[in-house]
Amino acid sequence: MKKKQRHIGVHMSDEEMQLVAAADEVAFRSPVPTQVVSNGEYNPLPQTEDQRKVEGLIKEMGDYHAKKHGMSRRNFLTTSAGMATAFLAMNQVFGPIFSAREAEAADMQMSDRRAAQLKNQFIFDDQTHFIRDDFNQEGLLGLTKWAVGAKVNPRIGEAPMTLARYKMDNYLKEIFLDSDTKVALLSGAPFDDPSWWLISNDAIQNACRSVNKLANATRMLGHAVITPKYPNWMDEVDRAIEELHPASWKSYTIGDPFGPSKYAWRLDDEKLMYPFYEKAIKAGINTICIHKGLMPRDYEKAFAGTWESATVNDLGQAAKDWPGMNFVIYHAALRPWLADEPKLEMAEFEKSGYIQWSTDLARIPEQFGVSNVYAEVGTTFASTAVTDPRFCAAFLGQLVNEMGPERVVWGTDSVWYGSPQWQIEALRRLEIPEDIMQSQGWKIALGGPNSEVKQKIFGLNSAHLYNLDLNLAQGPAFEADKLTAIKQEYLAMGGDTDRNNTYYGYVAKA
Amino acid sequence: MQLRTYVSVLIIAAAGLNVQAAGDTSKSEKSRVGTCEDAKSQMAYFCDPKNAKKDSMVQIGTACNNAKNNVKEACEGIVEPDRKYTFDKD
Repeated sequence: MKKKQRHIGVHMSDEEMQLVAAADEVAFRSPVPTQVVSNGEYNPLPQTEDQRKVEGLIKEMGDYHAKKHGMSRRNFLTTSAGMATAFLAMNQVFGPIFSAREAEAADMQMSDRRAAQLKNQFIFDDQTHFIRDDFNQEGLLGLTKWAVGAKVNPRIGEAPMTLARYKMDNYLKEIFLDSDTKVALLSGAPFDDPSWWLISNDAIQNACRSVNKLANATRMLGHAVITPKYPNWMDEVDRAIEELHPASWKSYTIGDPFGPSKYAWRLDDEKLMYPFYEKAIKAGINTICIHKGLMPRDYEKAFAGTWESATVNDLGQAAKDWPGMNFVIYHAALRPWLADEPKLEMAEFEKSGYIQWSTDLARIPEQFGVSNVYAEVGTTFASTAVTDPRFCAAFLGQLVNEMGPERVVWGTDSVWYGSPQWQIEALRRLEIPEDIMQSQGWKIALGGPNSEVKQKIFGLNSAHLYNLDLNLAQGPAFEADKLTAIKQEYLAMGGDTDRNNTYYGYVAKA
Repeated sequence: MQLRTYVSVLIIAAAGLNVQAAGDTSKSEKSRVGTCEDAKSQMAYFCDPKNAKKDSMVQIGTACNNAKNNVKEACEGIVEPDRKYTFDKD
């Protein structure tokens, strides 16, 4: 075993060592297919001309600064200065959307200082996933292949392009060691084909217990997935309440997120759902997260007969009838799946101020007089930030300004797109262009990297939803726990700049 | 005819009618997956490899199978048995 791995093990008891495996064992199981990782050419969606320009600029600027710093471009792009370089390149192509200065790319100390100042920011990731150990549907890798094609996450190529990257060991590394995330909510998903189900409700809770025990702090919360319309689905609700005690519920009104399902349903179906809300509130598990949006452009053809379940036209009445229930709408109901044609969406927004279907969501609190509706931005923030940052700013700006900054929660859909640090950096740096603020009559800017608005989005809103102690949530509680100690060891040994795919340092067993 | 035999005949006849009714599913009749036309539209989209170039959801691959099952249910009346909620424990 290599020195770094043995060194990390010093922190762990025998019991905790049962949770981890040597990193090189993981790497041995999954060698890197270099033709995919090195060239990043594979992309299910065609790379746009703008993205090609960004890539060219990142390479050009990366070469320039790497030479100045006496390092390879590849290594440079994994540093804080390299991250700043990526956003500078995006600004050159898309206009000044991200706050980034040339000096950050040129001065490694400055960029490191900035990263250090922000590392204790409270970040609660409201939507994360990993898969059960025997999951074998490689089609799911299409999600990461999209992110490889998007070419902004400089670390996306670290893990091999195999399903191992979606399993618990890599999940812990990507989220808790390679990013500033402090708390993660672990979710699951049902599919019409049972072989696609990601993870059981029991496994979700077991993972949370293991990690929280390891950390000696609350670092992970877990969902119980419910499947209305399935036979005996309410039995699982009862079992979850009695045995599993999830932090909240997760469900899919569309039935199956990747294809037309026979299990689509509505939130305002009184016969189907109202008994559930009553039961959930009585049990004190009164937050439900619902997958909405994420449809292809041809959704009326592709999801004929079921697509309405992906809209929020069932939300207002349910939220009004059940004020004691919190409804967190995943993906903020944004219709486009992986931002298929952002220019078209942006053109529509510039013309009418309307974005399918996130605008509908943003207006529900006012239309229905409710305050129990939240927007979560997993996948939709990531996909719009890299394909059309101006549209991303419009999308997020509308949620913040029309729903209120206390109704928007951070989520990344990790670990599908690699470590979420690039997404965190993108939000820290994102600004709403002044012309959009003026044309829309918006008053609430996003502000600097640690502004009040961004603190709310990143974590304070979720801390409130999940009754985490806000005083603790603002930082100090996580500075002393065991996961932080492990992270410090990992970083001290070069964990953040180690480009050798076989050296992860610390990895937990799935 | 004894009562038991009579009841059996009735049950068989009823089952036969059900099968026939299922086979004659009207194109405009709405099933859980919409109408027969809806289901065919789903299949035409998700099972066309050309769409994979612009839509990674098609490429991921689960949707075409769902769509085929939906056509069976909405157009042919062949309903696959509903699965029970059986997440394996761990």
